[in-house]
Amino acid sequence: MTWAVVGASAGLGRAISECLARQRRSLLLVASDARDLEAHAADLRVCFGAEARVLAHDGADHAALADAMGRALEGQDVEGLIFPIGSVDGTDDGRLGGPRAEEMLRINLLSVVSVVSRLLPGMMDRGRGVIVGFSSIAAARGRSRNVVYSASKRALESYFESLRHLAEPRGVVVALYCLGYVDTNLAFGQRLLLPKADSTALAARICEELGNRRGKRYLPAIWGPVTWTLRHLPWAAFRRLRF
Amino acid sequence: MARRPADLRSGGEARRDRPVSGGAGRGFASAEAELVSFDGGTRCRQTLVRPDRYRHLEQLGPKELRIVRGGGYSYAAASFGAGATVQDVRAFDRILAFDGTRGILECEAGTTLGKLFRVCAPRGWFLPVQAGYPRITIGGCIAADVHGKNQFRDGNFSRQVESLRLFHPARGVMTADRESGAELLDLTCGGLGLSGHILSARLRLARLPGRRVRVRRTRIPRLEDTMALLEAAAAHATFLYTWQNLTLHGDTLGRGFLYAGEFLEDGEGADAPESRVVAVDADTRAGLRLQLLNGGTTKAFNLAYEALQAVAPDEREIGLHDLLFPVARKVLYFRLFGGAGFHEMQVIVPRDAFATVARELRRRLSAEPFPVALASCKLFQGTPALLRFDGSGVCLALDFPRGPASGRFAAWVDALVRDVRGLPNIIKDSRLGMDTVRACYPGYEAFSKALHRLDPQRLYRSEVSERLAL
Repeated sequence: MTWAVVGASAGLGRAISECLARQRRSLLLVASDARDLEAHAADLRVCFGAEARVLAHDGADHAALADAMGRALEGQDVEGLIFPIGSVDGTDDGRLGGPRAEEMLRINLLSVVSVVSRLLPGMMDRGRGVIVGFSSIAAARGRSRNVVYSASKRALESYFESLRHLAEPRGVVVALYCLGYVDTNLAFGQRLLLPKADSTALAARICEELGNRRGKRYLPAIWGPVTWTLRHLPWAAFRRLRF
Repeated sequence: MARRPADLRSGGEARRDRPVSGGAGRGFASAEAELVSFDGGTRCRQTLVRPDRYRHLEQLGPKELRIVRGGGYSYAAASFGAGATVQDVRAFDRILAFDGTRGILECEAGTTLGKLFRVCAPRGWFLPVQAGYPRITIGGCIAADVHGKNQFRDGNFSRQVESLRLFHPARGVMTADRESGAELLDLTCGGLGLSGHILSARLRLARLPGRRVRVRRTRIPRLEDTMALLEAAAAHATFLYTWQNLTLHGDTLGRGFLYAGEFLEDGEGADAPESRVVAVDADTRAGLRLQLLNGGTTKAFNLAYEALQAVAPDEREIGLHDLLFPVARKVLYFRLFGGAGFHEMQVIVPRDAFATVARELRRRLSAEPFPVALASCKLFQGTPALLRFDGSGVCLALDFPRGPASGRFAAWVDALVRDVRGLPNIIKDSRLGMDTVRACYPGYEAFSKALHRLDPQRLYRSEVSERLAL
């Protein structure tokens, strides 16, 4: 039984795949650059004796990615699909050009949609499997920064609600983690309101809960009430916030 | 030397630059950071980038000054300074291959010594030459050509380096091994990170005789006895070092202990995983505002340590992890120097000059007592080359608190070392001047010329390279 991690070569994806390798799960590691993937897979083989295959593919080319993953997983029981994939852009302030905005939507949303649509039927036929997605606290409420990124993550949240509605009655567990600040390259060098969570600790938590956790969850948990407050802040107050 | 194209890419498709955070839109995270040398002697504010994918390494401008940084544990500022962009490459810490039959391991340069120990020791292998803290990276060990407590038997770190992959923006990825690229290998081992970015290294491991070491302690009556006792113990010891008290007066100055360790072949268990390692870096080391180990307390500190050692058993068994990484359990010692920091001077004193150095130290410290917090000796056997800290004799290390008089004492030691044709360790001393290095290192000119041949633009720069005019 194979676990596929899409976005496995860095940050949280790398930490999650390391956790899975420690549990001796069979892995398909997917990311855009073969050099990162080969190095990561080699490390997991040496350190944990894990079976780790790699697939280098750009998430922006989502239909081709789904085809490639379908071929790579042909004839195998897919136990889990994990999507720690995402793209942000420091110039995403409402003036982002069409092609780049489209690329972000492809990576953040459509790559997940395409891969799931390709592999979900098999999982539902077997009546088992786990699908895990990752949203962001940036999706809590639209603001003048991370405009397209937030929109794509909010769309992803809606998609995962639908996915849960569709797949859970057929035995597939669907979970969506809404991440706060994490100590990865996405947050490096930024002055932030709250401390950054350690990606290794988050990965351990997520891997512990695989197959048991359903629905949406904030990580770290403190972001649940923070997000709730932001959502319910009157517009007159929210519009004054600069973050 | 095998050359490859200047692009690091080997299969991944090109991607547009994507600013991630706080950076200048160059496709990777960057920040303005204040970096400090481990001894607290050098501080610089500059751009720090933290690449975590290979494509990030290609995204600095081709003429942009840069320097690679691992754990940041160098006492001298070898991984920052000179206005260069600092590339923190600790994310590149993966083991690429392991041949459990021949004991050959290939890893990325950001891999830590602690990780290698965790992976190799259970399989019966280890790196015989290690630096003293498990979070030091392999790249750092190569760039500083570090040594351990067994230098007289196993040499420096470079002896176990089979080959390297190195990136330089003007030359692409280069492979250097002993057959092809020996000059580049030579330049990079002990090259202070100035010859390029070490991507990965193939290392030759040694069979692990056991996981525990028996350490025997013997008395050293006075400083002048050190050399003879070290040489006598060397015949039957694998690890050898001393601790000596230079805050005493009269005949007892330099009194202390010699520690000789050897593997217990049937040693079992008592493994010390990295979770027991007390975390420290250059920032947290300097966390205390007060310098608690200072001119007024150093003597008491030494006497207390000596008393504790004296009541401990003469012979004890310790885990290899604890022996290889003593700093992991002695972090408090470094913290006691506080924000003001400390000096460490480490010099190889030629065998025939040790008596002179001991005599001069006695004369100086008797006339003008000085708070030497730690004095320690190891036996060295080797040949100096380029800027590598290697040679034959006694390696004498002195730690003392940084203060108004410390610079004068350090300058006096510099002059003594020059007089006896000793060799100061560049990586341990953040104030060592170019004149001293040029006078003591016969390979200084050769290193400088080879470096400029390899890199006429001198893209890899640090405070150390500027201070030493490299």
